[in-house]
Amino acid sequence: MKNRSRSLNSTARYNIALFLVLVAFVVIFTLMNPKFLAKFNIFLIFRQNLPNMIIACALMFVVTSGSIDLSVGGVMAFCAITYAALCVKGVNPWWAIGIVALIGVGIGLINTLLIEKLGIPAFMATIAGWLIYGGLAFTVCGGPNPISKPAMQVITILDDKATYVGPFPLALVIVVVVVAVFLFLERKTVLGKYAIAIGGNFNAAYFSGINVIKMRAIYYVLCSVMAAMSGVWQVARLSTADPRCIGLGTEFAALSACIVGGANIKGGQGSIIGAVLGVLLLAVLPNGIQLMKSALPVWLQWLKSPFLPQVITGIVLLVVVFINYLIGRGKHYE
Amino acid sequence: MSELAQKPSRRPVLKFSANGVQNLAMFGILVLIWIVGSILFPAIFNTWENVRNILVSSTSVIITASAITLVLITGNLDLSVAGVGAMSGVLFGLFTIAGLPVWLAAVAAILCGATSGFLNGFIISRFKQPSFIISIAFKYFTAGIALIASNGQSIASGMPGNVKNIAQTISGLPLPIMYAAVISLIFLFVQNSTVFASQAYAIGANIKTARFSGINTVKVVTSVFTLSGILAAFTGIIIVSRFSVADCSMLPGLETDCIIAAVLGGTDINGGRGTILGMIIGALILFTLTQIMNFLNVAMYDQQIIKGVVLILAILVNDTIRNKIKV
Repeated sequence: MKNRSRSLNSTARYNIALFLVLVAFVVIFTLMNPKFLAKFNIFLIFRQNLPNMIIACALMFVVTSGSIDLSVGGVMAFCAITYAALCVKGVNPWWAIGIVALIGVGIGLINTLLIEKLGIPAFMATIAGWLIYGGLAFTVCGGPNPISKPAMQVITILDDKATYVGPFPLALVIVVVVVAVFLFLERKTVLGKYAIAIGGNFNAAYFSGINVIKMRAIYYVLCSVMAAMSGVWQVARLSTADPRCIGLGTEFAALSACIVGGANIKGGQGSIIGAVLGVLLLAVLPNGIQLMKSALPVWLQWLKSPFLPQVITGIVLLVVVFINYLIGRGKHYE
Repeated sequence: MSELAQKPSRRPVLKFSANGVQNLAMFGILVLIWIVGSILFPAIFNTWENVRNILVSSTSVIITASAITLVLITGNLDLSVAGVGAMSGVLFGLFTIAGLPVWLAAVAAILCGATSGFLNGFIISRFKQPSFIISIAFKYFTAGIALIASNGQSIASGMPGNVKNIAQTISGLPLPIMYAAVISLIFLFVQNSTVFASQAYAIGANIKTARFSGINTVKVVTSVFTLSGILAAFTGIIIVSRFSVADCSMLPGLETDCIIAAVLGGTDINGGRGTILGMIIGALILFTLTQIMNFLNVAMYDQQIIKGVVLILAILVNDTIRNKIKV
């Protein structure tokens, strides 16, 4: 907390602290095993976490505006399977991506209708959406068996192991571009400010002339479209469209990243940079611990379990919430 | 009208509260679904076999949701129950394999669940944090423990045979139904006639007012979450005992099922409203529908879609009943 300068607001201070924590972990893991900073590992982290990253950016808007979207996992599965099915049917993959993006827009609008017009609590409406789209994914797939490799040869456009843009893999480029776009939306358009205004005080925002429903609709649509694109990415990365595993738990993973990144679940606080740092922190920790070679004493060997990421996410969430409590940031419920 | 006003009737007039209308409406829907089932499958639907299957499959939701309804009444959410149930079930299996007597293993596993629920509730109420986030953290935490303890595989062999005793069938009546009946009766009593439940309603309606009127909010919320941890653990143990398999993903979607059952029964997820009786009717609606869909050969994943639609419709119907019908 040595960066506590008066000129920075609490969100900026939080982000700097988070960044320092991230750097500290990277340094520790690199000292433990220099391979942690190898090109391969860095690229791997980005490949694996691209969906979380771009969904968390969009979800940050939704959470900051005081709402929530838990349907992203289902949307991701549904769109992934639809994309694969379209490609297998012979549709040009680029057209298929466009169609899937349109589906994302539609789902975002349905969310808006349910939450803002019919007044169903966002939590319930999107949990129902998650059930519905998750089920639809299986229906489109025609059963629990994935659409896999032989039928999927069409979709090599985004096959990420082969695709490099200059020296950088496609995943890194996509992440940088998406984050840049969201930073632009946050800083240079009304989206970011209005999200904080709506989340901070819904009624005040309404009476000062913000078209609250329109803004929320934009956030939901962004979120669903990003989820749809993540679905496409997963299909390209795994070369298989499996309704059982694509998007499983993504909603909670992305939401945890937002919370770690300083979002207030009741709305009014949050930043895109924070979301990105949150995803990176939750991604780097399990990866680094896996790479620690023989540096662990026997009684800590259980840390090597491949199932550790879940526990780490839980612990990090608790720690972050506790720190927020200690520094008096993000008072949630009185 | 004027006649009625002049002579107040001495006969006991049947009066309903808003909750009463709600429960009656939901009960009507349950009966309707039941009639539809009987018409579609006249030969099998009204047999004891079928009723027993529906009841047994609804036990895990009824047991867990008894506490979840109280949690929702206090205005909180508990998304950790599936994780807690899986953790306790896996630990129960491992304890019995390690040689503990079955009852001791069950008590130890329930204690683990209670600890998780206690910590969950204590952090939420003492540090005034959103239940949503904390219970997600505990969901990750407990599900992770279940995965690590079972090493990601289902534990099917090595458990002593008397593990089955917990969920055995005694003279045609499966014990899980008995547990569900006893637990829901206890919670019906708690919800209807204890100060504890009134305090829970007060906290859900307005936590500030509740605190200023001298209610120990930390104590009430922590107890409610502890109960939810205990019952989730118990559900996990029953499942392990029923199938003799301890699997780290054995209660998929329990948290959403519990919330759906409670909401079908008229519970408001913003807190302050809801009844255990409604939850039981809601759970029965959910599982009767599931059974009908099973008979119709509707695939698992299509049932999931219908569940989502039912959830949305239930909330809309709830809102309509509360807003349009004056009692």
